[in-house]
Amino acid sequence: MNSTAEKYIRKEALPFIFCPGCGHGIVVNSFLRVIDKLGIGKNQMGLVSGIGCSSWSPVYLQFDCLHTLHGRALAQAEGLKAVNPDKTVVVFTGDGDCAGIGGNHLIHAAKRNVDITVIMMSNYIYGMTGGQRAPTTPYGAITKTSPLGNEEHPFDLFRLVTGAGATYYARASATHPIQLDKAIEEGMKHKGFSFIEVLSPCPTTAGRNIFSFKTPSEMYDWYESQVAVLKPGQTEAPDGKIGLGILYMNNERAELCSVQAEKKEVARNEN
Amino acid sequence: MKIEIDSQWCKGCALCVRACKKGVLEIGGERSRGGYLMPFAKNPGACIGCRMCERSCPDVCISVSRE
Ligand SMILES: Cc1ncc(C[n+]2csc(CCOP(=O)(O)OP(=O)(O)O)c2C)c(N)n1
Ligand code: SF4
Ligand code: SF4
Ligand code: SF4
Ligand SMILES: [Mg+2]
Repeated sequence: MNSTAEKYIRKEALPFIFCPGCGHGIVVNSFLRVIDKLGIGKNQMGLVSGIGCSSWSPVYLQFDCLHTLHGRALAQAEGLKAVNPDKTVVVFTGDGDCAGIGGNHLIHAAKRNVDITVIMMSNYIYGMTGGQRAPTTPYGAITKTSPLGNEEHPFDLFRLVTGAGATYYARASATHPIQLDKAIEEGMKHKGFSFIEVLSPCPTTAGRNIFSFKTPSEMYDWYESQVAVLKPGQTEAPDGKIGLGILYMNNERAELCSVQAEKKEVARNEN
Repeated sequence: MKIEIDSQWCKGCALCVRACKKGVLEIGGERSRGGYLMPFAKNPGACIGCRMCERSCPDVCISVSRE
């Protein structure tokens, strides 16, 4: 086990539920490097997740964890933050959990600009339940619930989430772990609703349904060919590629818990 | 450089092999506890300690350290 993981993994909970080569494990690996670098103590942070393969991520870590209902991670995280404003709250969620069944919580949490960090692992599919279409599934892709090719276009999550009010948006990929670390680190430092979309290959379910890759490496090669690291200030990559980087950061818009604390203080002084 | 692969948790996905641009790693004949064919450092002298293999492992089970 690598030396950072040694410090934070709950060994009794291993192995990770993830299939060989699942991107979700690379996200956990990256997250551990970031919190180690930031020096976040084991009692300073609460991790929250919903249901799905991706939502198993925080269960293996030595932090308090709420593994909640499908789609409800954000609602629980907002509650946790409201009563523990001094705690760092991080949500681990899937594209289905977050943007599908949890989509309404997503836009409202973004609207409130509540200070939580969301790591959404997007594999273009419902991995855990065998390959149904997710709101991220590409147009035309064949899944269990779109056998003739997806007739719906995927969400443009960048515009959806920033349009709703999120003040940090980064896109990263399990094929680019250094940039992934950076996206998570800056998101955790940012005060406000921080959203990190991580392209996380699912060699098993997406690999079988949408694609036809024989090995995880082949799948990662393909992902690598689809992405480009953005230059500072860019939000779109050239040549129709998927841009990786920090796409948006806004430090002007007030964060929910701080506004509430200020208002309480004013009300207290008036009495 | 010392390259260690934890035979308890390795799932033989070969993403570490893919990540190493120096051709240090290769899948060998030994199996991990889960029954997967594991990588080994075939060419340890070529390792530059960049840790891309470590960062690319979904099961956090490969580690590189200075000897
Ligand atoms: C209320 C409810 N509806 C449906 C399910 C079945 N279910 C479990 S996981 C899942 C999809 C998870 O997809 P995603 O969040 O993308 O995670 P992944 O497995 O792809 O990482 C579904 C539909 C459930 N557990 N609860
Ligand atoms: S089904 Fe896909 S998302 Fe789920 S653990 Fe396996 S590879 Fe990962
Ligand atoms: S990346 Fe990790 S799990 Fe995959 S083969 Fe290498 S050491 Fe094993
Ligand atoms: S540290 Fe770098 S050079 Fe050494 S084995 Fe890992 S990826 Fe290859
Ligand atoms: Mg998914």
